[in-house]
Amino acid sequence: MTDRLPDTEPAGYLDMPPERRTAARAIVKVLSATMATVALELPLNADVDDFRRILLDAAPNTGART
Amino acid sequence: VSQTNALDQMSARALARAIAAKSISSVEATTQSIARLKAAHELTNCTITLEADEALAAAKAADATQAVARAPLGVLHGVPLAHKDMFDRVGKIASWGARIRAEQPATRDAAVIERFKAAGSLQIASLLLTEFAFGATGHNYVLGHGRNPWDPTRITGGSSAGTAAAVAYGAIPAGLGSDTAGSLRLPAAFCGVTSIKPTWGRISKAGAMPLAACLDTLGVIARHVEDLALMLGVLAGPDARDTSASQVPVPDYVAALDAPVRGLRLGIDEALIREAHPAIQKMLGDVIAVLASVGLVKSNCTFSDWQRIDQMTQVMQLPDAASAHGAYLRTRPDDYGPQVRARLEVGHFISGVDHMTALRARGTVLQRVLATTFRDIDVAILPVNADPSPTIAELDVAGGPNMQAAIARVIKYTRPINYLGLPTLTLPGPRHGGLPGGVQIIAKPYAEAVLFAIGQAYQRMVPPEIARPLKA
Repeated sequence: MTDRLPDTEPAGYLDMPPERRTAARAIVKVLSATMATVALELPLNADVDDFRRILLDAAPNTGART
Repeated sequence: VSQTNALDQMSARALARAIAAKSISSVEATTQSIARLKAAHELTNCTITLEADEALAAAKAADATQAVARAPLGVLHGVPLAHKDMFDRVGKIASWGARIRAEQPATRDAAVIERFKAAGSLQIASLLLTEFAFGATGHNYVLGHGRNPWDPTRITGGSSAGTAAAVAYGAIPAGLGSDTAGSLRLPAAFCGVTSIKPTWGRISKAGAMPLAACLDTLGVIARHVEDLALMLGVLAGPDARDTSASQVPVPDYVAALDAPVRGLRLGIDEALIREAHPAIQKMLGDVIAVLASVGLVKSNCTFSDWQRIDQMTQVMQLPDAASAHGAYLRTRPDDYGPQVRARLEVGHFISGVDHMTALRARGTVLQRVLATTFRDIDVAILPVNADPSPTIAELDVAGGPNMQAAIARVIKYTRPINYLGLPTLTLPGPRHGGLPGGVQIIAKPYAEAVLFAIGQAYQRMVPPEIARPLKA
């Protein structure tokens, strides 16, 4: 295990060679930049349950909902 | 046509009718299915565990029940099937396509297994998946790679690799798979068969191995669209064991197969489609022409922010999967294959804030897609595979530096749909003697019945095929 890594190292508890850590950071940097733009546009009251509600609201009217 | 050939081409629905009419026994059907699966495995590495003795005993019992039945039995009574090896089954330990497995046998069947059993089907084998269902190509660095039945040097697609290969070969009419970023659609496309990835939550996931529960969707791979309709009707519906399983009533999908499709508006995002290989654009154009010939009306649509949605899907998926594997990745990292290990590790680097943002934004994004992309259309069409079928060697990137880009290209057209949770039907394009490829028809939430009607109309024009290696 890489227990020599400082506590501040992300995922320091994982046994990863330096090149995979570098690759992981590069992937996440791109994703995080995108999420920064998403966060700027997202209203305060956006909720994880919105997704299920919108799926349900869009369901064809096939009769009584249970 | 010999009886063997006739049987390998039959749909599960037709086979169930033949068994009910006693024109063939379940034992005969199962015996032949087992023989075909052995041949399919030799060619494609599709099987993890063959369960011939158990299946034949079940088939014998099914025939005995049939002999004395005074009322119709289950809609799949006596029909031999086989499924991706990721579902709990009483007394068994699923492989998960991995070296790491549960320590104890399951004490209850997964909901989908229970429902298939209740409908009368048998299971003759558990089938190959990419390790932990986390792979889009069919490569499995622990149990061996899947091989395409049309050309065994080429990928099957993944992760439901074995199900697609066995179905395409004609060993079984249909089987279960799962889809977190394309795992029902990609193998169906590369192997030249159909699949239904229903609306997220339409089928209970109880007892199914999770990859990223917020995206995981169970579904069916089959040669015949009518089997997708029949089986989704068996599998869909609420389940006390899975609170994410939807309460929306399950319509009669089989009755909907013959619903009129004339006038349905087919959305085409030309700019997004142009990002596919020219051969795939041609194949998609062929499918559109067929659909137009049966009455669908072409219309323009735009999936805006496709790449952004793809990235949001990753921000949801990777930490979810990394969390599920948190214990094993810390304690048994060397028991993972190189690709899955490297991908799981990435999830540990994504911040909790970003993960929550992706989850919170999902409803807003879905609402926008429904209000814009789907505003003037009934369904949309996109390729499944961006490129013609690659060889296994070409995509043998393991966990190396080319992995991320290679996988991203393979799932370019599939992964964002999981973020949206929309139902998607995969149809194989006309082959013209070459390797298969597939398109996905995407519908609004819970509109699977529309997809089945379109698929049935399409298969009247482009019938299902049995896969055999093409002559060089």
